Amino acid sequence: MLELRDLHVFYGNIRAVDGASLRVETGELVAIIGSNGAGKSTTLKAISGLLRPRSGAIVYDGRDITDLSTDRIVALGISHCPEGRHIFGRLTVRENLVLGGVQRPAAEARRDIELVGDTFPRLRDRMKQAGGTLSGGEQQMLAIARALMSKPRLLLLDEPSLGLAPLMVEHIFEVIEGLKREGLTILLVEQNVHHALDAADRAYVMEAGRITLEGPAGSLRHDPRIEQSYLGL
Amino acid sequence: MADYFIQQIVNAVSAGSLYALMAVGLALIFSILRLINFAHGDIMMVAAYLVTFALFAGMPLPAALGFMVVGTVIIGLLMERVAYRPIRGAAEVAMLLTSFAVGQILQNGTLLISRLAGQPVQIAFPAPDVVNGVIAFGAITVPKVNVVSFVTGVILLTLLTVFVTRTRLGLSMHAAAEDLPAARLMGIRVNRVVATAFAISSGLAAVAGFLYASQAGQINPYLGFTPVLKAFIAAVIGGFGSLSGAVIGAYALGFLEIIPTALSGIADILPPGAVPPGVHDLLAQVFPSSLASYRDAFVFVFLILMLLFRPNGIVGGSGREEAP
Repeated sequence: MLELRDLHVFYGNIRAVDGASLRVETGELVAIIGSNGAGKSTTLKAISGLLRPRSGAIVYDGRDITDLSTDRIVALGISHCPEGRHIFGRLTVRENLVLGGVQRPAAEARRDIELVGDTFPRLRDRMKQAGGTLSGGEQQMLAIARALMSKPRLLLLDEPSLGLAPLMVEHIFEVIEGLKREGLTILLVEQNVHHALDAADRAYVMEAGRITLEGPAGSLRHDPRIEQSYLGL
Repeated sequence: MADYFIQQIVNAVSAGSLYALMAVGLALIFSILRLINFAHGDIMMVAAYLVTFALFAGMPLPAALGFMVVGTVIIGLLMERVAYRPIRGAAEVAMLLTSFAVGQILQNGTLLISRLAGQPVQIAFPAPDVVNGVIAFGAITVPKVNVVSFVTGVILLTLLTVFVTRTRLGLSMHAAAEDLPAARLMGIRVNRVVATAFAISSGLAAVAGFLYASQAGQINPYLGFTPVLKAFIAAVIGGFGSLSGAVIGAYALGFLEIIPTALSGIADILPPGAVPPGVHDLLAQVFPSSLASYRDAFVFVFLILMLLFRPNGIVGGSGREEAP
């Protein structure tokens, strides 16, 4: 479904992604793990069109989307739930969701907002509350719910568990696994390697802008290099 | 006595409406692009010329106003596309300087065209009857243009509020103002949102230009300078980048401006015997009739105090009211 070919992305003169190649098949949950500053978030930003790669290609459904604008990429079915949640804090929960479905017919999006409470019961009673007043965990749920409002076929999830209490982390991963069961394809960037490898089908390890290791999540979990660097065993 | 104060309040509210129409446009653009569009006053000036031209050409008033609004919006959109889009995201100083350049181009372009058309620099504004003359409310007479300014201001600002809070395009505008990258991730077409903001701000400036020219009675290519400065002050007083702040700041400015005028010569308008002679003399000394001419100085002193003690403006801080 998605393929990155030898992607190079720069922030000014700083090389953030240095020749990364990876693929995500339909229905898969693929994780990118690695330490801070390894280029994981940058990779997602390049896919969603927030950053222009200097070279390389991003192919989605057999189509080169490398130079498309973000709104076109959203229209093609890729939704990016960014690191740090980026809730519109002064808008209500409902308004945040409305914006998530901004490209869809208004009536259809309105119907979907009514269904959000089924997946995220904690949002149901907070529809009229300003996004900025939610707890961190609730904001993360809102960020995911909002990203789903565009009815994506591929969800890019950046650090969904960052800064959350352990119980909330468990809950967020239950939600992610639920989405996978429903058939959504997910590319997950996560520092919580333990949880990421539990949830993912396959994973890529990124270091200094390059993919250094890849494989089925189950076997990476027992790879000595992973155990040593990321799982602290 | 009471008449005098009611008169002053009417003046304040009318001036405030005009400033609000201008300040909201400035705030709208600033909230999304961080651009202080100093060409905004010149957009208003262009509108005054367009409607003058249309009325000279013998168009009926509604058609002339329509021509003015459409023409001004087109010029506003062109300005965004040609001058501001290429430098979007550049340093704020670069954008500010560009806006001065755009203003110069609009002023000189207008001057050139009116010269070529054989017109003098200063043209008498053909104010139509709806804004010409006075209305009498009992003992109080109010210039029609003041009433029209107030009513128009309230109607347009209400429509704008409904648009910004109730439509998806309005919410998109808010989202782009609050967090541009996140707005892009929603699939919002930022170019469309920015163009809409320029269209709205130019349309409001056009209406303000018509009302301003009707009050002033004459137009020239430089008439935009004072209003844009006033709108800027209003926006700063209210809290820059906030629409509600701009409106509050605009009316606050309207009232601030009348304070020196209202106080000047207060001793003379007091009915004889209302206060002891000593108090009368004191009032005459503290508030001489020349006080009115210090109006702008008074406003600027207030602005400086505001920047020193409440730099985020009246609505500064957090909360939904601040929404773009």
